[in-house]
Amino acid sequence: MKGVKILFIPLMGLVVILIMLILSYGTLGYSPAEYIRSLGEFLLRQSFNVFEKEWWVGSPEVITATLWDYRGLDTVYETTVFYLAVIGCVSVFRLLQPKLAEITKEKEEYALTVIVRVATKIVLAVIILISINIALHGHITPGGGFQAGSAFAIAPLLAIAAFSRYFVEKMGLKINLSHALRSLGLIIIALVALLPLFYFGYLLQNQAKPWSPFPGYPIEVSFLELSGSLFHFDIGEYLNVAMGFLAIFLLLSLPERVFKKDMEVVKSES
Amino acid sequence: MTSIVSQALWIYFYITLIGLIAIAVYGIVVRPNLLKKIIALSILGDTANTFIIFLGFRRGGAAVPIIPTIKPTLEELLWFKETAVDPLPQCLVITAIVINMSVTAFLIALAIQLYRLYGTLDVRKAVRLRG
Repeated sequence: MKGVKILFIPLMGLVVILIMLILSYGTLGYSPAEYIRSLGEFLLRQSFNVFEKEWWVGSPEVITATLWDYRGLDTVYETTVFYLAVIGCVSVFRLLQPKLAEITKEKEEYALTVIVRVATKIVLAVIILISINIALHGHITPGGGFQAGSAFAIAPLLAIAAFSRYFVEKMGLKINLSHALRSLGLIIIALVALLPLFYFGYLLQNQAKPWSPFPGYPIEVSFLELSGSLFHFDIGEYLNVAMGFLAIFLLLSLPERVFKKDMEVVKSES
Repeated sequence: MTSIVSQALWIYFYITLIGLIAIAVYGIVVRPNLLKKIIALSILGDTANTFIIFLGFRRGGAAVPIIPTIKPTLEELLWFKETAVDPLPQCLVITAIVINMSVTAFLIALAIQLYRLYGTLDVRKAVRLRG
């Protein structure tokens, strides 16, 4: 057994080095290449090409444009994978008596000091505001739905660590609300993706194309830059990711005694 | 002189990445504790993401792939195309990060449930148990 292990580790190292050599062929060596690949150059050239609008997206943020327009179907499926992963967590943590999860009020004497509590409350407000800002500006500045959702995910984590799970639920962020908003986000994404089909366009179409009768989503409404469908996709994605992480953290922070009580019922029944 | 320094830096970068992947593979394959396996898996994912972002880097100009103005001129667009890094690897990585996070969350949920039911995170002990 010992000899197998000693042989195995250098072999794995060799495989890793070979894979990286193959992957980086052309860039490995002195320093990276001076020119990027033609596909990347196409994206950079066409994403906000106001002079030649055949392939354009209407967003100066090339990464969001690629995510939700050129590779839109990929991202929709990826969102679905995230949704299903949260459903998997919920099904692993399900209780036979859901009422047990409601009694989670902590005793007052276990609270942290005033400094920690006040500072955490200020930081919580800032985190939530910044995450909303990242989500709403994701199509013109660095950011987007995923990034904003990940930023929001810190807020419940911090609140659980500094206060308790009870505090998060008292703020109104309950697990049923998170499931409802998460599903709403997925519904927004599905509706925005399917709407062009009713105008005889193609799936996930964003801007008007010469070969498709769909007129395209609006790029700007009065002074607001919307970048077509990217704005709506970002909002749906933000709701999905933020509320998915909220659900996961609320489930992970359930006290151990709730599960022990639940297990006792299972054992007594069987 | 600067070329030697930058060459050494690139080699150092590659060695760091390869070392991280080797550590991650070691953790996943050899360590028996499930929590350490999950940590190693996330290290592997993050190293792969760094490597993919690096593939889109370009020598000379390395601007962020975001056009700084709402109404660009033709010269600005051409300059942008010549200096910005490849956006495609960054898009792939953003997808990979979210998938990685959701998979890690699910694995942690499974590990916690395993510990609650069997009282161990050691895979060698957990496979022998019959619940």
